[in-house]
Amino acid sequence: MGDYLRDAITLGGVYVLFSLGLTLSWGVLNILNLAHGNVLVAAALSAYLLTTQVALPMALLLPACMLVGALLGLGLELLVFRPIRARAADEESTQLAVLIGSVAAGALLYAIAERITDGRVRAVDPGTFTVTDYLVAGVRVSNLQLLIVGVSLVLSVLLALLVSRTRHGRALRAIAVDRVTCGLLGVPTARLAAVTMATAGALAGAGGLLLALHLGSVEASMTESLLLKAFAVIIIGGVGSVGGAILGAYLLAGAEVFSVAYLGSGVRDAVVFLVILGLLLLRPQGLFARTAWQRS
Amino acid sequence: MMLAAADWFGAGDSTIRTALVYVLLAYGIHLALRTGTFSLAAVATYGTGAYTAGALALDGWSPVAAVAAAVVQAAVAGLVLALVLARLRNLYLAMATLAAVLLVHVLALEWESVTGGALGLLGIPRGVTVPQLLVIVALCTLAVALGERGRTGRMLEALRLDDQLAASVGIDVVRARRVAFVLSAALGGLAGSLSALQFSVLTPDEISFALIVDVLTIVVIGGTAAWYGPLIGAVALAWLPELLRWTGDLRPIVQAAIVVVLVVCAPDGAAGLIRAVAARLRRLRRRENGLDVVPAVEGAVR
Repeated sequence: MGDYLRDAITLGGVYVLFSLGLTLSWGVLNILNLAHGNVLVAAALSAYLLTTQVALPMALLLPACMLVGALLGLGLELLVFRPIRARAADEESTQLAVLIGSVAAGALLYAIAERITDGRVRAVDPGTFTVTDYLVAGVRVSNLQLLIVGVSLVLSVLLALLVSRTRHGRALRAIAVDRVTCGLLGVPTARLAAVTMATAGALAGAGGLLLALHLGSVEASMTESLLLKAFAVIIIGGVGSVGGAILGAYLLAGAEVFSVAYLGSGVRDAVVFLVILGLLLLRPQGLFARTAWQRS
Repeated sequence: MMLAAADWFGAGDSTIRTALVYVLLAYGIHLALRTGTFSLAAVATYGTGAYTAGALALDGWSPVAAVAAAVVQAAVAGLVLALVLARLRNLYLAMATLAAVLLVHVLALEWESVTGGALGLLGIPRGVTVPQLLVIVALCTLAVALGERGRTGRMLEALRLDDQLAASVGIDVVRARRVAFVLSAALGGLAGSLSALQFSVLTPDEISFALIVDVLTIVVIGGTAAWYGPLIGAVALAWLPELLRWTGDLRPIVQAAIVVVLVVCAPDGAAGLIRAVAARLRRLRRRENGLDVVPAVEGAVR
C-alpha cells in the first residue's frame, strides 16, 4: 500500500511538470502545443549529453535542463507561433494553424532527437547524484523520488503563486480572457506570450530531466504516451487551471498505479482512456473548472 | 544491373502505392477541415479500417468484402465519435480525436487475439492492384471535387467561415458537420483497408503519431483551399525522400525543417498558391475586357 502510494506520488510529480506547461500555454495563449513532449525529450537529451561529458551536480544540471526547455519554448513562440499568428485571419483558424505548426516543429525536434540518439534507447547516468534509499514510515523511498516530488511541488506552487498573486499573473489571466482588448489597454501581449512559452518550456525541461533519471534512460519517442496522459490531466483539471492540473496529475497517477496493482498492467492505458472519454461525455469543462468552457 | 533496376522499380512501386493510400487519408482530413473542424478521426479509422480489413482477409474474406466491411465499420465508428464529441470544438476536438488515434494504437498493441499484438498481422493476402487503387483514388477525387462545386460547395464554404452565418441561411449546421465527420471517417477506413490489403504486413507502429505527422505534412504542402490540395501534397510527400536524397543522413531533419518553413511562410499550401495565381489571371483578363468590378475577397482562401 505504502509502496503504491509512493509510486503514485512520484509518477504524479512527473505528470504535473509535463501537464502544467501544456495547460498554461493552452489556457493563456490558446496554443495546443503538440511539440511540448519534444521539448521535454530535448531537455532529457541535453542532460544525457551533458552527463556524458562532465559530472555535473544536480544543482547545476536541473537549471541547465530548464534553460534548454525555456529556450526551446521561446524559439517555438518566436520562430513558429508568432509568425503564424501574425498571418492568420481569425481566432479559430489561428488556433488550427498554430496546432499544425506545433506538430511540424515537434517533428523537427523529433528528427533531431532521433539523430542524436541514433534511434536507440540511451542510458542516462545520474552523474554526481548518487541514488540512495531511505526508510520513511516503513516505506523504502529513494532520494531521486524525493527530488521528483520536491521539484514538482516547489515549481507548481511557484507557478500557482505567480498566476494568482502577481501583476504578471493578473496580466496572464487577462490575456486568457481577451487578448485583443488587453493589447489595447497596454498589456504587452507579445512579450507575455514569449514569457509564457518559455515558462512552459522550462517546466517541461525540469520534467524531462527528472523523467530521464526516473527511467534511467532517454529515447526520442518517449513523449506519445505522456502527451495522452497530459490530455487526461488537462481534461480532469480544466484547461488553464494550475491547481486543476496539479490535482488532476496526482489523481490520474493514483488511478493508474492502483488499477495496475489490483487489476494488472494491461489496464494502465485503459484507465487513461476511460478518464478522457468519461469526462468528455459528462463534464467536458473539467472537474474543477468554472470558466474554461467559455473559451472553447 | 538488372537486379538493381528491379529493386528500384520495386521501391518506386511501393512509393506509388503509399502515395495513393495517403491521398485518400488526406481527403478524410481535408473533408473535415473544409467544414471548419480539425478532426483527426480519419487517422483513427485508418487504423481500425486497416485492422478490420486485414483480419477479415486473413479469415478468407474476399478483398471487396473486406474493404466494404472496413468502410462500414469506419463510418459507424465515425458516427459514434461524432455523437460522443458533438459538444467539442476547435482545440478540444483536435485533442479528443488525437486521443482516439492513440487509443487505436494501444488497442492494436493490447488486443492480441485480433490484432496480433506488437508483431501485428502477418501474411495478409494482397488483394488490390495499383490500377484498381488508381480507379478508387480517381473516383474519390472526383467526388470531393464535385462536392466542392455548386450547392454543397457553397454550403461547405459557409460552414467553414461561420457557424452562425451558415445557420442563418438555413443550413443545418449540426447535421452537416455530422455528415462530414462520418464521410471523413469512412474515407480514413477506406484508406486503411486498402493499405492493409497491399502491404501484407500490418503493425501497430503504422497507426501512431508519425502517421498524423505524415498526413499533416500532406495538408501543409498541398493546402486545403481546393480539392487538388491533398493530391499535390501526397505526391510531394512521396517524392520528398527521393528529392532530398543528397542530404543523406540528415534527410529526416531537412524534411521536417522544410515543413516547418512551409507552415510558417506558406500556410495555404500549393492549392492556395494556385488559386491566388488563378484569381490574379482572372482579374487581369477582366480588366482587359473592361470589367473592373472585382470582389475584394476573390482569391483569398482563408
